[in-house]
Amino acid sequence: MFRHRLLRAFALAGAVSAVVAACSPAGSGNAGKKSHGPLVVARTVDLDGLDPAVATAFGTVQTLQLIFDTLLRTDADGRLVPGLAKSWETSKDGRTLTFHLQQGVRFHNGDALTADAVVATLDRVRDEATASVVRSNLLAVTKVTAPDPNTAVIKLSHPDGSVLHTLTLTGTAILDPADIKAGRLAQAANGTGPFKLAGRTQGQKVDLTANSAYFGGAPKLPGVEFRVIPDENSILAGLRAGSFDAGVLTDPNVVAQAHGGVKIAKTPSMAYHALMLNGRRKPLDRLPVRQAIACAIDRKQVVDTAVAGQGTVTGPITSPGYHLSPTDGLPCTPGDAAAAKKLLGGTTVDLKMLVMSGGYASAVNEAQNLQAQLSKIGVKLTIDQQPTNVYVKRWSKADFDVALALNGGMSSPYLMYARYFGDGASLAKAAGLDSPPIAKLLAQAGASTEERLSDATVAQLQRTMLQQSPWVWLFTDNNVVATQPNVKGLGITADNSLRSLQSATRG
Amino acid sequence: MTALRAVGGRVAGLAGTLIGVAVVVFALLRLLPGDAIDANLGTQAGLLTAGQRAALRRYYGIDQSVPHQFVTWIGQVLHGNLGVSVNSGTDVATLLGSAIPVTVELAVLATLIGAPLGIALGVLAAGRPGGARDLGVQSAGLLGLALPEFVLASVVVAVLGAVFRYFPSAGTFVSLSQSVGGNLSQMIYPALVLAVGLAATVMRTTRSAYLDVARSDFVRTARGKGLFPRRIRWRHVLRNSSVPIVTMVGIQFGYLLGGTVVIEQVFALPGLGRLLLNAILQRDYAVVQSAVLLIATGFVVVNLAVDLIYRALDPRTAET
Amino acid sequence: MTVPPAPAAVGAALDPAGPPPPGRRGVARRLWADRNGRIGMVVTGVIVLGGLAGLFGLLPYDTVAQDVAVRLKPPSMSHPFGTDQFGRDVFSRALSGIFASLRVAVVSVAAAAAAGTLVGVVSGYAGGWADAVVGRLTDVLFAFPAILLALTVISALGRGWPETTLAIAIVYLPIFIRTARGPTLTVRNAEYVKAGRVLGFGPLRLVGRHVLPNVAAPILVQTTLAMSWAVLTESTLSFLGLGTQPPQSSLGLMVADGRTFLTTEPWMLVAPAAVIVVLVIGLNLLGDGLRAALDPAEDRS
Repeated sequence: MFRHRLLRAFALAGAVSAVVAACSPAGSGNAGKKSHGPLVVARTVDLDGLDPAVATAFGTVQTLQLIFDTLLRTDADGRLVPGLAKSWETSKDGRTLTFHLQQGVRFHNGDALTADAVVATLDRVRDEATASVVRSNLLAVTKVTAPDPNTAVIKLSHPDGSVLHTLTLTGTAILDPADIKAGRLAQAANGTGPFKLAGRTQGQKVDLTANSAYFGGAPKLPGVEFRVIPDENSILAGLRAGSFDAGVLTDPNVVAQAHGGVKIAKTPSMAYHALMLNGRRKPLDRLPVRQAIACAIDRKQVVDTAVAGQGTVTGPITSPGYHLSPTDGLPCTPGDAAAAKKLLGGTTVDLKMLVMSGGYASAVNEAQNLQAQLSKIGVKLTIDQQPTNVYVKRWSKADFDVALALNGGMSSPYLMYARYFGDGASLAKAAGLDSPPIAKLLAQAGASTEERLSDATVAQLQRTMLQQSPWVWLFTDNNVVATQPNVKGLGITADNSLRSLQSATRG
Repeated sequence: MTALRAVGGRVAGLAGTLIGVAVVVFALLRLLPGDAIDANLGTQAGLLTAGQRAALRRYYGIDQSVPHQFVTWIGQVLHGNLGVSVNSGTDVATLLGSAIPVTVELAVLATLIGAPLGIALGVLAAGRPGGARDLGVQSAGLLGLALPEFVLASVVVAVLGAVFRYFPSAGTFVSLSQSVGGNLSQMIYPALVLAVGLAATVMRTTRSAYLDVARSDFVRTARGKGLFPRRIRWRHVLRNSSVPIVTMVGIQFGYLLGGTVVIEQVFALPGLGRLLLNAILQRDYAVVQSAVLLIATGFVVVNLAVDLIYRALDPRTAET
Repeated sequence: MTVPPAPAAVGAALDPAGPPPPGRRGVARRLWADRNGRIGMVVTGVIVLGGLAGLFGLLPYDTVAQDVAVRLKPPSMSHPFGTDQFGRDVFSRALSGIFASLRVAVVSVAAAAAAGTLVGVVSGYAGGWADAVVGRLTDVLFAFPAILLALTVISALGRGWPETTLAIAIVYLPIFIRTARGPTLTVRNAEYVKAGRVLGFGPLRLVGRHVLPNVAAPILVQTTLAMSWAVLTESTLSFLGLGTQPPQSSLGLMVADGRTFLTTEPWMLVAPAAVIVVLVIGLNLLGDGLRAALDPAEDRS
């Protein structure tokens, strides 16, 4: 089948990025298993632009994460850890955030990092003219100041714990004020990160060299070369032939074949597959009908049939570090057709299901399986396949009965759903339901000054979302990086980051 | 003189046909439900620059009456404004420019492989009609016609992947000017798949044309004169049956210009067919319109060339 | 002016000035006597029966219902063609795929044949400017390679089997117009028809008595051959995702789905592909046989 495999990171939420399938020639020379030279990483996508503030495409973010640094980072469990800020504190009233910067950090061009860079970067992100995708996460910020060269202070209009999480996103990566002033961010990738941009050939490759002065320790690899190989079968074949040191894989059918000769590191993605129900239309405005649909679907079966078992069943919260039951809160055990029928009260329902065609590989298979499962309880789904551009338009207006979607996740559960179900949410229309119980919990979470929302808070949010069943959450894909056996320490995170390249080695 | 006039007539007819083609292409996409083109412009507006949007509006002649739109459109096309792709933001002329060489090369390669193969098989089969060889070749030909390209291509791709670890990939396409060897290694398999159907058709034409000539009087005469059978076969029979064979090869070549879509899709070749298919799937109307117009024009021109060659080969046709 | 060579050279025109074609019973007997025709009749008949089973729902399994317990099982007694990744029976889906393919092929070719014959006969008989216009229109339609025209029509109409049917009908319309127009022209100028006109017979009577019987044979042959291309075109469009939409089964769609599993579960692709090949061969042989049966000149070969 002809599916674009580029779109895994298609984060519908937030700015919907355009699908650009570059079709330009690329060299196919062999990097080989030589232990000198850069580590060659094959992936389907390219670096589309150099300005972190407007980066949305998966390949671009993945590259810029290596070149730039953010004030804070998250660890594998989603906890905040130091980045360019070696420490930080929140004032008692929750309205002042103070950051203490690492000492002696320099940009790749030699300029020293000072708190002025933080001010200039965040002011630029908050400026509407920049059109940054993270601007809407920083609406609570009233002022950013630099009381001394090593200290930056952010003032908030009201307590908002999610601001700290926003400062981990590549969109807030710290830029050199000189570049901002000169307006050359689209031309020069001048960061503080572990790797420097050495060259790029559009549609073919991106060359990075190690930043030996990196404040977190010089990378052990001399450099990294990203190769653009648009077909994942070719990536796997190239790995087996020794043409690449590592490859980023997203297609479950390819991942299923990736065994023997290559090492696999995988992490469940934060992006999740869900069946969105339009609770503003009859009969989905009735809670029992939505619950019946949620109850009828055996998630494991969807994973087995649609992505060859290469996925993890999930509930609403995909932020790493929270270990929650994917279905606790539903009035049944999913897959229980009898219970679902009872909730439906013996009626039959006809619904049209909006499905993206040519977007991500598994859509049509998921659609067919859901159709078969729901037909057992008298819910008749008709598949309405639409190309990406039409789909996105209708998705954002909730112009559907139900829609099969692959939505982006975030490390903060609050940020992840406030934009759909919070008060005045930017994507409230697309969400398809106004649910006061969910909105109330989100408002509480938003006012919390906790750096990381407590397990109890998040568990309650997840239970309530499942109980209200605005959507049916199905599964997350796995983010996969396959490597040669001699590559050590290279992994991939839930948000597709390859930051581990900084400490990875090749034997 | 009559021959010249006939050629002139054909060229004039060609112009008429092309106008008709333009009307059909125009009408098909203007008969879309609602103002799909306007709506499409709206969805992707963010991606296009103001200049690109203006070029696209000029191209479509939006806000004018339908006949006016048609005239505007033709004018724009003749001035080289083929519109802008709303999905990639690239102007359509550039897209077509990079796709044409791929498709033409594919068609040429397939013809170079398929036509000689088909002619040889046809002669082989016609050598002894009804014999075992004839039956074998005819059966193979029937299979070649009935085997859908997408099946053969899928199987070839799977075998290449499993045995040779070769995977087609549009992004790694190597053009002929970059590397002849690299290019041929990517083009040869799809060309072979295309050649199968072409060889089968040419074989059938060759066989029946050959048999027609072989049954004719002058061959009997030649045989009576005691000429060697092989000499008769190649020198007299094949030469005299060349008209329908050349015609069929020409027609098939023309067909390939618009008929490589499946092969390009399966082998991920960045040619016209794939461009068109993706444009249809993504409702990128300017690309669809211009690509269809271009392919149909190429097809008509090739058919005219075939017709002219046909006249050159067979002077009798000039008199009609 | 010469008529440009018809793209569908497989169906070379019959000699319209030949003697009137044999009667219906004669055709059937001659078809059966011809080896190609006999094989074609049997093969096509068997496949059509399979398609009818699909139409009347006489299938061993539901074609849409999924049973994950039997995913990706190789062919066996209970599943003669194996199962797919959803545990659906490939044999049942192939049969209903035959029905889907034949539905499109039969309806589109019947429509094209009926409309094409009507237009071809009327314009050929009437002559004058009407004929010139029709001739120009067919030229224009012929200027599009078949699959391209189908794709273009679908891009305007949308996807689904009725749209596919209409697209294929439009593609084959000009072939039928030409097939009908040729013999009509010859017959119209034949002495006995001229004589009929002098005697004051109306055009309806002349067309019915003399033109249609001469047009029927080539149209019948063309119909059979067009059916085989229509089956191929339908499956190609479905393969490209522009024809029958999932979860309905279609042979082309099944091949497309089977591609992913070709090296591990080959039956998912082989079964539907084999059905298409056999059906197309059957229709081709039937067409060849019909041509031989209807054209006495072919007897000698």
